[in-house]
Formats: sequence, C-alpha cells, structure tokens
Amino acid sequence: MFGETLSVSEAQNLINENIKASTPALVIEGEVSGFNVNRGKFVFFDLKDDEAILPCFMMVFALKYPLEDGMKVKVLVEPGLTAKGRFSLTVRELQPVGEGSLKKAFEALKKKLNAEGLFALERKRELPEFPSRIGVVSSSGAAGWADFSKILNERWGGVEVLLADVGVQGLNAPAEIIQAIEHFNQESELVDVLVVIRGGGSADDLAAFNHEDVVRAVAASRIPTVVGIGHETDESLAELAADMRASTPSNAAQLVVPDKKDFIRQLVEKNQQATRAVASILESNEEAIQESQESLASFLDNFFQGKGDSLAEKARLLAQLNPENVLKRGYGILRSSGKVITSVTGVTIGQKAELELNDGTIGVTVDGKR
Amino acid sequence: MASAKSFQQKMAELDEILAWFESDEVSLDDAVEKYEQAKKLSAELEKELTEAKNKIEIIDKKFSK
Repeated sequence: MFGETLSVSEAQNLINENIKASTPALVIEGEVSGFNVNRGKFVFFDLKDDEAILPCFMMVFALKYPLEDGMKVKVLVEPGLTAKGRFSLTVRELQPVGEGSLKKAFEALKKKLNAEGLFALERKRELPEFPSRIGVVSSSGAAGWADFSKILNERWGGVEVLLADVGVQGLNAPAEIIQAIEHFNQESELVDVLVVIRGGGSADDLAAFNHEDVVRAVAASRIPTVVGIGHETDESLAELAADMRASTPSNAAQLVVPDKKDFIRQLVEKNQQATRAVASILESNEEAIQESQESLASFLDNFFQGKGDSLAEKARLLAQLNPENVLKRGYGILRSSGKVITSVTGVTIGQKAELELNDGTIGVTVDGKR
Repeated sequence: MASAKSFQQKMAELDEILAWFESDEVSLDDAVEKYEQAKKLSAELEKELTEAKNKIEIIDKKFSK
C-alpha cells in the first residue's frame, strides 16, 4: 500500500524538485502586507489580493526599492518549501507597481540617497566637448534610441557609438542596465561619455531607473554619464545621480555632441574676419604707396626747381625721338604682317607690305632688291 | 570628424591665424600667405563637418545576470 519510503529531508527535496519542475518561477502582482525585516537581514511579507495570500521571503540586500504595507508590487519568485516545511515564495526581483506605490518608493529612496550625497552638485563632472567615442545603454528597438541616434547624426559626425542593447522595462531591466554600465566602466579603453536613455512610458515602465542599484551604478560610473529618461516632466533617481540630466533621449544627443551648424556659422564668420583683415592690410599698404609716390613727386618738384631750361631741352630731345615726330619729317615705317621690316633680307620679291607715313598707310609690293 | 583632435587642432590653428592678423607687425606678403592658409583650413574643416559620418555599433553581448 505504500511506495518507496523517504526520509523527511528526501521528501522535502522531492517536493521542491517537483515544484521547481512544474513552476520554476512566477511573476506575481499583489499588495504587500505584514512587511517585516528580521535581524536586519531577512525580509518577510505577504502578498495578497482580495481572495488569497502568499508568504514571501527575501534577503535585505536584494530589496532595491523601499517597501511598506499597502504598496502594490510585482515580484519574480521561486516557490518552494522552507527547511521548516513552510510554503514560501523566495523573491528574486521586486518592483513597485502603480503610480502610488512607485511614488512612495521613489520618495523614500530619494531621501536616503540624497542623505548619502549621491545627488550632490560637487560630484558632477563636465562632459567632454568633442567626444570621439560614446557608450549608450538603451534598447535597440525602442523609440528613445531611435530619437537619440537621429539627433546625434544630424548634429555631429565622426563619432564611434557603442550601444549596449538592454531591456529598459520589466523585472530584468535593472540587472541588464547595471551590467551594461559596468561593462563600459571595465573596458580597457573607456568611452568618453556614457549615455543612459529610455523614451516615454508609464510610471511602471520607467521604474527600473529608480532601482537603487541602477542609481548607484550611475553614480559610481568612472565615465561622465548623461541620463535621459522619459519626457521632460519625468524625474528619475538615475537622472539625479548622473553628471548631467537630459530631459529626453533627443536632449541627451544635444548635450553630448556639438552642433555642426554652429561650427559652419563660425567658419563663415572666421572667413569674413580673415578677408576683412587682409583687405585692411592691403588698404594700409596702398596708402603707404600713395604716400611714397606723393613724396617722390614733391622731391622731383624740388629737384627740378630752377633747372627749367635744361628740363625743357630734355623734353625737346625726347619729343624728337617720338616716332610720330620722325614720320612728320618724311620718314616711313615698313611693315609686313604687322612686323617692322628693318633689312632687305626681311622681304622676298613679290611680298606685300604696308608703308606707314605721317598721315596714312600705303600698300606696296616688293619688285626687286638692291 | 577625421578625428576630434585634428578638428580641434585645425580650429585652433585657424584662430591663431586670425589672432596674428590683429598683431602689429604684419607684412602684406605674410598676410596673403596666412590668408591662403586660413582659407585652406576652413575649407578642410567645413568638409570634415559636412562629410563625417558616425559609426554605430551594437555590442555583441547579452547583458543579464
């Protein structure tokens, strides 16, 4: 009538194995009641709804959102029997749900971390002006990442962007976000700036960014960090712990890279400045030349004063050398194809040429040489 | 940018040239030479600004516990 006989611990193990096989992990949403921390280490509470109640257990260090009775939470649990034979759910992940619970947890954690100085202004570091490598923690499929990369590409180029693709909502999101932040901080060559972003969503969707360890990971980052979660009006503790808070993912892109349009404008201005500078140097040089010409003219005036006679004589000599005056005296200039002929060797018999005289030109043909 | 550093360096060089123009002892020959340098630098900078593309890479790693 009986099967194989087991010891108590064997029976307990068998039951637990069966539970594990049929129900390895559950995600449950319910209300916290009977919240109690034992010896500063162990957390006990019940999860309930209108009809049922389930006992929960977790370690204090695993509790990343402040908890109190009446809060609604979502938990990832592993059901089983304790060593003492009591049925219990071991909580692996916990996140408050609903605006009211999230707000309570947010305020309590904000107070605690603020007292620790995590949000202090003196902790904030400057972002590099020209980052060449940017690390991003976000979800590749989400709108926040699409907005960020669009604005980034519009504003600046030549940057290497490394995306750590993580879940940005749900119970697994905090662990993934922390891992990604740690990944960037452990690289042998650190990126110049780290960006943690997520687009808009409900208070539940954004809860991961109010997870205590996520906030601490942001605060502990060796790399200057920008966090932009949700919309302008959403405030997350991760943003408060960051070196710079971005109001949205698009705004994060604006904060981490300069806008090339500004630089192109600057270049235009600088070009104009250079052109103006050269123009004014040219102008002052022209003035100097003008001045020296004027002083040369007055020097010559002074030099020739009283020597009018000899100057008039020189002018006469010069006038005599003027070809026009020579023609007036009955000489001519012989040209062929526009070239002046100065020797009989310069023409052949039968060649046409023009003879320029004082008052006109005669066409001639060479009929002989002597 | 070809590299952020070369962009910054070129921008600084351009500013140096502009500052040189403001100095007292400026000869016309030098000014023409510096002007050509400034034109060349700003053309290079503008080319970098308009042509440089970002390189986006998704890290090939699963981030979870």
